[in-house]
Amino acid sequence: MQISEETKERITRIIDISRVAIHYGYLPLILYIGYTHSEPKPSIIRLLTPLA
Amino acid sequence: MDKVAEDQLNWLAQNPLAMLFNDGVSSLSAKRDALELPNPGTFENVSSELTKGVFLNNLQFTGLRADIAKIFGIAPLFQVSHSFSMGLGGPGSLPPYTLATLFGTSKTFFQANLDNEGQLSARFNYRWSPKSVTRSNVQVAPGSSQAMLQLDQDYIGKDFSASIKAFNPSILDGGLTGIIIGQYLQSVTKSLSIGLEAVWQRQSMVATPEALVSYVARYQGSGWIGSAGLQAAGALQLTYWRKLAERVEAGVESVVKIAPVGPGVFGGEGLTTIGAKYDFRQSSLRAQVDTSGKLGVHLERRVAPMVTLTFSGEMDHFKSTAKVGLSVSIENASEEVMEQQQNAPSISVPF
Repeated sequence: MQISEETKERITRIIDISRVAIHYGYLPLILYIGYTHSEPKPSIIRLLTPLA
Repeated sequence: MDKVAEDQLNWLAQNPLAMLFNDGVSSLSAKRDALELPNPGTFENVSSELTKGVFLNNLQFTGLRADIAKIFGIAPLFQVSHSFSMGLGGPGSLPPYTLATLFGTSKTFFQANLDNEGQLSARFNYRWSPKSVTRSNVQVAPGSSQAMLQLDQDYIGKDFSASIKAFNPSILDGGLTGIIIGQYLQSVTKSLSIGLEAVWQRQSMVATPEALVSYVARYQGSGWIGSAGLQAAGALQLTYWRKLAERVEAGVESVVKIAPVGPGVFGGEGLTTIGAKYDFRQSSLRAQVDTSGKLGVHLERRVAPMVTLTFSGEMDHFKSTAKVGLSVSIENASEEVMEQQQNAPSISVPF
């Protein structure tokens, strides 16, 4: 199976972008989902610092 | 579908051959149901009572460690934890700081671990139905274009478990590369189950693909479990686990590797490990000794409702080296969450 150079380049770009997005976005995303779905809502200070 | 088209296709299901086939399949599945075979567990967990429950393979660490876990919710599960560690910098030592977040409902599971060097390990699991779970795991390191992706699809049947895994699958090189693993475990009688694992791997299009098959069998008696595995590389693994008393478990594992040294000459090496685990009311003690001269101890003690102290030690008598680890972990939950924990119905998160 052969993929054209153009498609290959495009897929590589998509993978690169999603890798960066996961690297910087996944942990904040979980914090956001957890913050919005938790009942009662935790305070942001307690969410981020190990102390308090 | 069209009424006419349906009529035209009727002969497909109503001819004598198809009916014979249908009857055969349904009577076979009825017979299979009548056997009432239990689900055998998963292929990976064939000897988990011993290797995960008694041995301290994944529990050992070196240096000092402190975990502070904050639990913000039970249903849905939401937890943020900070781990600090000081080690000797050798293998097995942990990164100085790790931030971990975890969120789970009965259908989804999210987890991210980020350490001070910027290395991220991300997990996402989704349960499609009570029988089928998809797992994914991505590992990204900063500054490198290499990432690790693992996809995993599990199916838990009535009397069998099947799973297929893929590590870094790619078709960009002009063909399929990566590692693909298929696993299947089937109950044969109420206590015996057998399974096999097939591994196919191709690192690059230049390399030739490789395929390996491993076999495994597991027997569950009353209060004991024995398993045997034959791996493709020529290793034979035998395990025996027994519950000695209500809070005492012990087991032995023996691994023999047989590899050809020269033409017609086989060299072998073996490793046998004996371990035991005692559960006390507030603490649990694990100890193991193996034939390479290693003695390991792991003691976990709950000193207060939310504080656990862990001691881990390993001595290698033949190399005369030793590793010692000490950790404290603190769970932190607000009063509302603790109340929720006692009242809320527990949910099963697809970990």
